[in-house]
Amino acid sequence: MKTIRIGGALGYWGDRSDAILDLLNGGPLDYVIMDYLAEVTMSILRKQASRDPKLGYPHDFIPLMKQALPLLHKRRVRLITDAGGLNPLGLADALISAARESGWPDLKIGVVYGDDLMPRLADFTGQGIEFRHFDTGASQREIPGKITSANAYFRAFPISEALALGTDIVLTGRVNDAALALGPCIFEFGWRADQYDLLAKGTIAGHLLECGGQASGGNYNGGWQEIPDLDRLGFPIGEISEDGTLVITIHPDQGGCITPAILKEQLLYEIGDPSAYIVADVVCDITGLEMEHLGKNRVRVLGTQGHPPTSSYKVSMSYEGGYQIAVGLIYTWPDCVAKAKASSEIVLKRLAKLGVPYRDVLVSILGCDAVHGAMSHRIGDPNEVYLRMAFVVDDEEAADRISREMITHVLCGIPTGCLFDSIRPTPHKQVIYWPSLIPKTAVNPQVKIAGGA
Amino acid sequence: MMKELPLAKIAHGRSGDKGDTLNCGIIARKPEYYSVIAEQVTAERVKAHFGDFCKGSVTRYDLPKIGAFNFVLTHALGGGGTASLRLDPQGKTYAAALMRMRVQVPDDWDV
Repeated sequence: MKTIRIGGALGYWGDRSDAILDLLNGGPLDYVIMDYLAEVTMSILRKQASRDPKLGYPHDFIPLMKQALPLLHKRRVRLITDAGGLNPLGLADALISAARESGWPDLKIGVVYGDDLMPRLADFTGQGIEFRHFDTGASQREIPGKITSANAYFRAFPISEALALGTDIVLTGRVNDAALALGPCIFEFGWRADQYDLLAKGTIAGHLLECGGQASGGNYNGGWQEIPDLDRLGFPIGEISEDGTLVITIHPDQGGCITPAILKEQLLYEIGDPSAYIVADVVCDITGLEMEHLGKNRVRVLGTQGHPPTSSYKVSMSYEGGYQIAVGLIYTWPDCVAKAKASSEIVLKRLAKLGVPYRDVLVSILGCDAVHGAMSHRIGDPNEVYLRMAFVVDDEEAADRISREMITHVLCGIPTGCLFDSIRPTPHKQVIYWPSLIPKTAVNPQVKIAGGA
Repeated sequence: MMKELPLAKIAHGRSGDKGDTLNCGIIARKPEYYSVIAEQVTAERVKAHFGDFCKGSVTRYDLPKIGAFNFVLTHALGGGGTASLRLDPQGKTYAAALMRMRVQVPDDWDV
């Protein structure tokens, strides 16, 4: 039976970028996938594109590809990635130039695009599409700020179409993360759109691979002490067969490991109802899923079932909120927790006196209970804590006044306070996420070829 | 006789976000621990455990074949993503926070 090997080389923009080189060098592979797009990544890309319209994709992708292209070429491994971001066609041009310099003049790229809804947003609302918020049901008309991105999550079939055209690399905009792996399965095995069990099996393969090292021992809570060599973590590989059988493994002689317990953590990562894990191609049911430990670093995953897909694409929109700034001071023994609390109250009184407006504030004491709040266990008198005060304000001027006020407390405030790293932190504009749906009939994925002989 | 210990002794998990929704995937460390978790780590108890952190609902989904549970907590991340002032707006550490919950297990369990 035909089997393909897909490596998961990146979990988000900013993840360990040399993982793709280790995957390509470490052993046999047919495909490698890289997921760059988290929920609000498109907004960050739009901000960058507003400064340089040629961008709109991760700026470090081409430098990485200058290292990876010769390996992809030599080993005949096809790359599928959503690195295209807001500008997959622009990225294809840049990649073709890079390939020429790397001795791959006939690199052929498939580009999947059309997911960017921003240019047609007024059209859609004119057609009565309301982009109601997934959780609250509120209409897009109620969004209290400037919309900065709106993208549909496309399915895997356009990726398989692009592969069928003989492309070496497929660049997409927004697609379901798991579609990056399901696409090559559809292409290689000829899976049809109504073979729901198979599409679900390919989707779960993609789900297990899409976060890279999280499937091979990274961020593992079940016993981090047992994971060998995280410094040279082997990224996960899915061996997927024509009948949907899936084995997850890693290359030999790399760090990390593959066990059922590790894969269970990744399986449940960022999912909702396990009987209805919805992607654009299929609705997956993993309540009957089982895992078999076949041997060292080999786990078979079976029992995934699929049901017909819904009539909508998921849409991720985002809009601008206020500015966020976090300021703070270290307080040391003795009584550092009490000092930090008292200091925060004085800071707030000062801001009131100065008339500095803010929309929201969160006071946290790092070293005490800052992350888990009231769930934290009680501690005595630590050696030091960090008082962190995070604010949402209307503009950069208010943020600046808050950060200037904080510094004065070294001399004018509670004793044993000292500055931590940056004296004047930079405020950042909030990007607020608005998930919704669009009917599949309203938007069409486009596939275009770039480069080639 | 029973003894009390943190859930971390009999389970492990991973958490993450979808907007302002948090999920905690919780996995029994041994098959025999599953029923203890099923009985004691209810949606109601998890809601109470997270207290002010969770402004919405808690739903528990059971996956007995892999000895696991998925807890979905809505309005639990202070607005989520870059809209939240929290130190962990994506909920990466909240499975660990859930692991603090106290559970009762038989005295003779070697945990």
